[in-house]
Amino acid sequence: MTDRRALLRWGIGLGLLASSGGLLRSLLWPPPLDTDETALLKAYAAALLGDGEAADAILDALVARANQDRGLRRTVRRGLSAVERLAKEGGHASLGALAAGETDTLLKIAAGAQAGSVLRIAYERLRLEIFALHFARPEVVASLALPAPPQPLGFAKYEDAP
Amino acid sequence: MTPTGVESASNTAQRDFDAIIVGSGAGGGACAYALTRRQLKVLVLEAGPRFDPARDYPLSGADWETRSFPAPEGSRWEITLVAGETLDPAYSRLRSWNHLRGELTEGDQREFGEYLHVRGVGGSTLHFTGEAHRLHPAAMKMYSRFGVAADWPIDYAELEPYYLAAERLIGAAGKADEGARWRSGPYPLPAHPLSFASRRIVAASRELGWVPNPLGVLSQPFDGRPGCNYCNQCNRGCPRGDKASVEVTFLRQALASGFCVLQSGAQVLRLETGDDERIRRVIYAEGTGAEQACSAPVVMLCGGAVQTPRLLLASTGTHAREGLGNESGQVGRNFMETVFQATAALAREPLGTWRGLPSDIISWAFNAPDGIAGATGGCRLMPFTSSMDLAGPIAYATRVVGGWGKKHRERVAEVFGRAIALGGIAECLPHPQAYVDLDPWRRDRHGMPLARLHLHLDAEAARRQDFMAKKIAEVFSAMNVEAIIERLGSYDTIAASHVFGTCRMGATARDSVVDRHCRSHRWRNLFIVDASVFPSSGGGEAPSLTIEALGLRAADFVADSLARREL
Repeated sequence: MTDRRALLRWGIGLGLLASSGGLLRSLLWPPPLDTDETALLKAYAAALLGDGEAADAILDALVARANQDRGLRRTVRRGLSAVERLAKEGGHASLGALAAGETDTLLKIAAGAQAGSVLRIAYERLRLEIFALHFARPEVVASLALPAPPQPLGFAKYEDAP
Repeated sequence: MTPTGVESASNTAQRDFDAIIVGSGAGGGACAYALTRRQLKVLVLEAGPRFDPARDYPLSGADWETRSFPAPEGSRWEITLVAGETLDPAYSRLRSWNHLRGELTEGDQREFGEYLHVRGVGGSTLHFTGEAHRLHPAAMKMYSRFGVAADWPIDYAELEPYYLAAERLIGAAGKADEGARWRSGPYPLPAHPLSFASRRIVAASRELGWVPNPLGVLSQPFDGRPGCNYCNQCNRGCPRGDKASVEVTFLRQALASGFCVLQSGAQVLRLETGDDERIRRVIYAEGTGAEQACSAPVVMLCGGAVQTPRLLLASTGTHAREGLGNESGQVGRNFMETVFQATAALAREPLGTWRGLPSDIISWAFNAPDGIAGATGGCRLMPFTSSMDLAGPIAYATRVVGGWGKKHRERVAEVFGRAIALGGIAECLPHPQAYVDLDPWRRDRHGMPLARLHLHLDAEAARRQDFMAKKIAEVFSAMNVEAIIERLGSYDTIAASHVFGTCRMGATARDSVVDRHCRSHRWRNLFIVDASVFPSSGGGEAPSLTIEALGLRAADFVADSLARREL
């Protein structure tokens, strides 16, 4: 009897240790985004850029960044599951299935969510990440008043009206 | 333009040097230059890396905004930080804020932004905006005239010839008349023509007495260096060498003399003393971690107001149980940081604010120590768009224009070049709770305790910030801007670039660390030449030119003393 109890205690102890180890591991080293999460991230980023403007290379770069950056990956995972819940409340299967107008409504909710909320944090962080990638593309920079990167030519006519 | 005089550590141990200089920023560079001009042999030990402008100043790709500076590994010091005071709710209007994100900090204590510095050959002059300021003469006498901080043991007249020499060496561009800052000679180069945006600022607020900001940025070719091409990104490194960072001015000339050896990746760990009140050996670690020792008749510490006290406090021994040069207990005390305020607005018309120089004009109207009604200590105002990182498309997309989708992209294109920022920097006075000591828990890879910064602004700091915020708001109102879009400041954010005061210069050993020649009161061959010796911070002036002037002056004293065999 005593042996059986001891064995049980050890078993429970080892089980707890293993599960807490798993928990710790998932907190410290969250796994890469899975297929569904990747699709969701791409859909959200594409919605921020709008009108099919999101180049595949940009979306792939964003996914790569999220898989390299633990903090970003956690923000994506938590934030987009909240977004997905919100989308499903509207009776849709997924964010990717929303019409343009509905996506706008969803982004408005996220942008207006309380500061510090999961929705708002994800909105601000992903907005920053996707725009940083998009607005660093040569063809995008060329569409602005900025004639070129700062070097090597500089801006010799800085005294003139732009 | 990159220094080429680097030799291996094994050589440095065998050479017969007259002086060892620790640190290659403004102070170290100026000392090396002046000593080698007198044909003295100098070893410069620099803890950080040598930068490669082609690789490390990435300003020519479309992604330039995403590339941080300085980027190479080891180009910043590890430090720890202890924030002090609770925020005064009476000044909550100064809380950092963005029109899209709302308040940028929360809680009732200051948040750590950044300690802006560069660890590498050239030091923090690699990222400075080239400002070449002389101190206001009255700012050097804060105790005798205003009862705060401490007096400098020298006055403006004693420093003036060295200011002029430094300006001539770096090719400073400015306008002759600067009021209280009298000059014995003209600037070597004419001031830069003002940018389109700055002319709008001047036209809207002539009462602020805007003048061309004195700059160590070449307004025309000089000394083998090209004139500026106005890319507006001085604080990301200057790949052309037109900005007067030390590695293309003082250090370049020191190395060209043949009397200077520069060793990068060499972190000094401690100084060892002898029974004769002298520093006997300098112990440093090479990049591999191997310890080396070297010695010379003179040792000059030029690591800045954080690393110099760290090294002194870490250099304990039988002769210096509380740290080297700390007989007065003042090593690490009197830490003064950068009290700043900055506001960005969106103008109604295109200004092209991505172009020009970061701060081509300056207002000294409130710079005298009694310049701000109701507060002791002055300030200066200047354009700040590039310093707030508001010059590129990503900044517009994320901080200036809200929303998403097509409308967002169209709006970014519409307003690009209309974001304009103004900033101010004010006097920071010493406070008993603002100091640098050694972190008892954390050490670097060489086992040396990290410097720990204890921050605490004096009671009037918020008043000075509030004054600057109001003046900036008046300018923007006069410019009839479309909207205020962002506000940042020292009230709730620690973002120091100019730091001072931790090895104060003074007349007596009782209350200071070095004398009027920057020499330790006790250790006769130990000199300190960086902003740590400043008894007061000045009313917002950039410190590099003053450090360089002090370096030229201290080096003259060292060379004369060596010639007389007094060292």
